[in-house]
Amino acid sequence: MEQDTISAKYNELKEKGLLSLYPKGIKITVGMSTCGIVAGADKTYETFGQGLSDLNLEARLTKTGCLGLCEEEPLVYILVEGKGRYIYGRIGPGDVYALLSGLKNKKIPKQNLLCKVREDKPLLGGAVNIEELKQGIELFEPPGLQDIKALPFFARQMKIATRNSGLIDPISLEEYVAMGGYEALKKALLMDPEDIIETVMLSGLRGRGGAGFPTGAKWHLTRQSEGKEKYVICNADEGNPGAYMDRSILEGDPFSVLEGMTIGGYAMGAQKGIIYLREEYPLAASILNEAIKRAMDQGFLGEHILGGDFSFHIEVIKGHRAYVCGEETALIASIEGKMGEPRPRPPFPTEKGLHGRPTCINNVQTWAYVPPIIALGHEWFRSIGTEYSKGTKVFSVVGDVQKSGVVEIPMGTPIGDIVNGICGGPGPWGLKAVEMGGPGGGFLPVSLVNMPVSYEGLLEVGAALGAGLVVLGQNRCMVDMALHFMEFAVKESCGKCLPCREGTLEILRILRDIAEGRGVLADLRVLEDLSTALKYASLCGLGQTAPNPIMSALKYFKEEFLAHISHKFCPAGVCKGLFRVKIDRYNCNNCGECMIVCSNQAISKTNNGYDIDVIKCNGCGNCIYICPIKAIKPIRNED
Amino acid sequence: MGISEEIRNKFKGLTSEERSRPATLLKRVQAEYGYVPEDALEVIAGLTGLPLSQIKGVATFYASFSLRPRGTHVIQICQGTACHVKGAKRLKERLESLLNTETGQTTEDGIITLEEVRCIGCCNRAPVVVVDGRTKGRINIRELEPLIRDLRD
Amino acid sequence: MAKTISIDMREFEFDAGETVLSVAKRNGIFIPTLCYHEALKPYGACRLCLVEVLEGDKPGLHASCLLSAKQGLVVLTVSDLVLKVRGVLIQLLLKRYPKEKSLMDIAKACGIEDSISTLTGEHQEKACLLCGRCVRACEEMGRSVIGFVSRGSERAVDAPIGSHKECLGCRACENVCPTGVVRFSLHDGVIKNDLWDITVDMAVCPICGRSFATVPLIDKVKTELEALSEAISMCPACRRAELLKRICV
Ligand SMILES: Cc1cc2nc3c(=O)[nH]c(=O)nc-3n(C[C@H](O)[C@H](O)[C@H](O)COP(=O)(O)O)c2cc1C
Ligand code: FES
Ligand code: FES
Repeated sequence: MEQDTISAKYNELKEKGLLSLYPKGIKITVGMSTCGIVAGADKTYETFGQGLSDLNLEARLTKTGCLGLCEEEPLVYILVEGKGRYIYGRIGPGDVYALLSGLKNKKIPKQNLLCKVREDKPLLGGAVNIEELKQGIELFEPPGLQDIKALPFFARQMKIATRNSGLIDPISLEEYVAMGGYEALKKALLMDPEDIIETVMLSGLRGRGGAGFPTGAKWHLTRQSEGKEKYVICNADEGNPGAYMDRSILEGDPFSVLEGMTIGGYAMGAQKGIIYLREEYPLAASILNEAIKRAMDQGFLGEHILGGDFSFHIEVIKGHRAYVCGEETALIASIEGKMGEPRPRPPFPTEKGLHGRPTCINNVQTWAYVPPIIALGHEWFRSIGTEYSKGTKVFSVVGDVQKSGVVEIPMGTPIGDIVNGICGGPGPWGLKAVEMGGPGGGFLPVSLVNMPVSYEGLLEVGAALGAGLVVLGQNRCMVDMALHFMEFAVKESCGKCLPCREGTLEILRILRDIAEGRGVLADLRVLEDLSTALKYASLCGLGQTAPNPIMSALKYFKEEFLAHISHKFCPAGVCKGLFRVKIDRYNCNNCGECMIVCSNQAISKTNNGYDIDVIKCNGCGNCIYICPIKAIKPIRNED
Repeated sequence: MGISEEIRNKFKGLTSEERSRPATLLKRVQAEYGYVPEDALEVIAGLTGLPLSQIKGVATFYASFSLRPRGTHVIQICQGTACHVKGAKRLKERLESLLNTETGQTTEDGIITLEEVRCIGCCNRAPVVVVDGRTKGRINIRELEPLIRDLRD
Repeated sequence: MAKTISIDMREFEFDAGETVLSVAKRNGIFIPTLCYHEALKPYGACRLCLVEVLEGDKPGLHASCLLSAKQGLVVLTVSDLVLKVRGVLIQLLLKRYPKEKSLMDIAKACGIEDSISTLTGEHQEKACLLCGRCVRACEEMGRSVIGFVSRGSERAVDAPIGSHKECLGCRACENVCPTGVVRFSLHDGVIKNDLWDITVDMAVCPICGRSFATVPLIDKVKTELEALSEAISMCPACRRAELLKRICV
């Protein structure tokens, strides 16, 4: 295709995209990612459809992905021509009619209104000032509306990998192009493949899957490896429990990943791309497949991309529920139809990967960074972040935190800023620790919580970057958390190598002993020895990093382990049998929740409040857990 | 029609690429029957030309496949980290006692299978359970009994 | 000049493609192994053969059965870290299979004596240590009749019933098993493996009536021979070599 024809094609797509992004009149958009749907967004969407026809209101109804503000889901965006985009939170089906009749009466309803967007600043395109857009409709707007940029949740974020999520219709290629999408591919196809790799190398981009390997170097190795046929793979296995930012990107902006992979395929000389997607993400699968189909229809994928010589296909292959398949060699085995067992490296996949051919595996986020880096240049990307960690990082933040969600911040941002500043802090119990890195990561105690996000810094304190953030309140027990991760490792170990298979089981046995009051001090030494063996002897990353949570918990929360061992007491009131419960009658508000959740009917209502039958109490702790005002406290058995 | 024949028929319409992938075929069988009957393994070995031992290995390695029949309803309780923090273990124990069965097993009447999953990516709605494929978030321990009653009716 | 590596502070020459384990063995340096077997491709799963690389591409602990010898490589087979890790691994095995004789031999050879002395004599049972030698033997030389099933601590070696008919009765699995838990025994007209409940018919010599090989093995040789009619024109030595090559694919 001539460059002129290509430009014309882009312009046409862009025009269509802008028209559907900023249509005339009113546009109602519902956030329909998995987290939205679980919160009830599908019912909300349906009700809007019904309501629009019932009230005879003219408006476009569309879907979008995840904006990251998952706490407020279902999120609804109302775009009013010439006025702005209004973001509403927690809109259940019951709120729909009120909203619509407000609009019908030419008012912007105030109920559940979170903020207003006056201007969109697409990273890869020009700014769109919505307030100045076109004619405008006469509508009454409540005064003093907060701008989205003023919300603490968004103020400190910098959206690169998540630039389009929650803004565009995920499967609209036109809207993606309108936001500057596929400009990078157009540019890349005119570049020398070596120069693309050089750009990625100079940008300082490192893998977001965990290990932080320089992406440019991996691409270089793959390109250099002998072989006509090569593969690029997107690791969308996101197995780390408690993390979902990859899902958020895949569901919210699939084209960014497809474009990144296509550029990578061109740069490395690969003909085929595979997205290895965990089975637990069915919505992401259908969104990706639809996006692939549309990209092929428009010539951005398939034979002779944009009319040139380069042909590239992408296929989504689903996993079958095995955490270890996030490890590169196990992932390859899984695609090849085998058990997901890792194999020793070398040879590395860049040399001998899928079907014995050179294969480059990168994480979802890593791929999503590629288009902006190519479009805006390596220097722009390098200018963000710390010395050894460039760009931004996307995290899901969950657990004991007020505003859980997906956030993207520049590398170097203190973790405390994410937890307290962006996500509103840990809530009533106060902060105990932040877990980072999943089953191969560790815990940051309050004293370290202000350390900046970076590969180098986190490694030093025994945490890692690959997973999300799980915030732990003071009411969580660290022995129990260590136990949780070891249970995970035991269930997910593939069993091939001896240290991981037998070692995790032995560590679990010891941790169970401690959590159930049978622990002895010598156990701590044994735990350390076992951890050393696992770290140095295991065949793959799963076993090598499986002891990290225990080591980290022992390092920063040793006194909790000692309390369990020496005093047979779980200070957090989590480990069954290692505490009694006491109701603080003075503070109790008599809500009665504790009586309902008691697993042995040990709580009864008396004239002067609730009473616990000490004999009947089996120490399950359900009551401590449920009490909304912390009026039930764990005390030592002998107290 | 024997079960092998029946299974073979279920694979009609698959592309040759799909037929060469044991996991794809296993998934199809699992979706049809709710589990993978032993006979399916041989059919799949025959179709793919792979050793039966490999097919059995794959079928037993991955948590997606069950070689035992499951109940009419399947409750999956998430034991991922976010859910764990939000009390998922308590929920699991409660379910076990309400159903009088262990995780991974089916109730005596064959109606409900209790399974655990380790994160389904809805961590901000923790704790979550998936009932017959539908995800329910922010489950309260008190909601479990009515939930089971509904399934049993 | 011949290329050398240093093992435990001594220099050794090595051949192209040789592993550190092989150089060590050739020179009488002891490194414990479990999943390794000369006849099989290295697997790297038991991790008993770990050595510490002091100088090389990647310093740290590496499985010597997989580690290629390279000019300038410096390794220790008995560093503090190696001994500590190896000790834990052997203890883990002993804990799981306290009565396994071959394990005790390894433990003794490694100088790990505690908890062993009490377990001598007749009480020894044979156990599967999941080294995977039999599985690989069957894959590399047989017909993949056996394979691993399940994962993690439930991992086991299994022969699905439907695959029994494929078994050649070549007994390669028995041959490579380090503990002797894989065993075939001759019953009238058949050999039987109790572990997986596999039975293979024995062929009887039409002349003397002796059972000398299994029926499927003989069948296999027959088919190979047929395809090898041109071998009649070869000298016996070349014919044997050619025949072996074809049978062992
Ligand atoms: C046990 C284990 C699980 C892993 N799971 C994932 C995963 O779910 N997603 C991912 O991107 N990387 C995962 N990784 C890291 C990958 O092996 C690999 O390093 C990564 O996909 C490379 O991409 P990157 O360079 O873009 O980070 C895992 C590693 C191990 C050892
Ligand atoms: S931890 Fe349960 S959904 Fe992620
Ligand atoms: S002998 Fe090297 S890992 Fe088993």
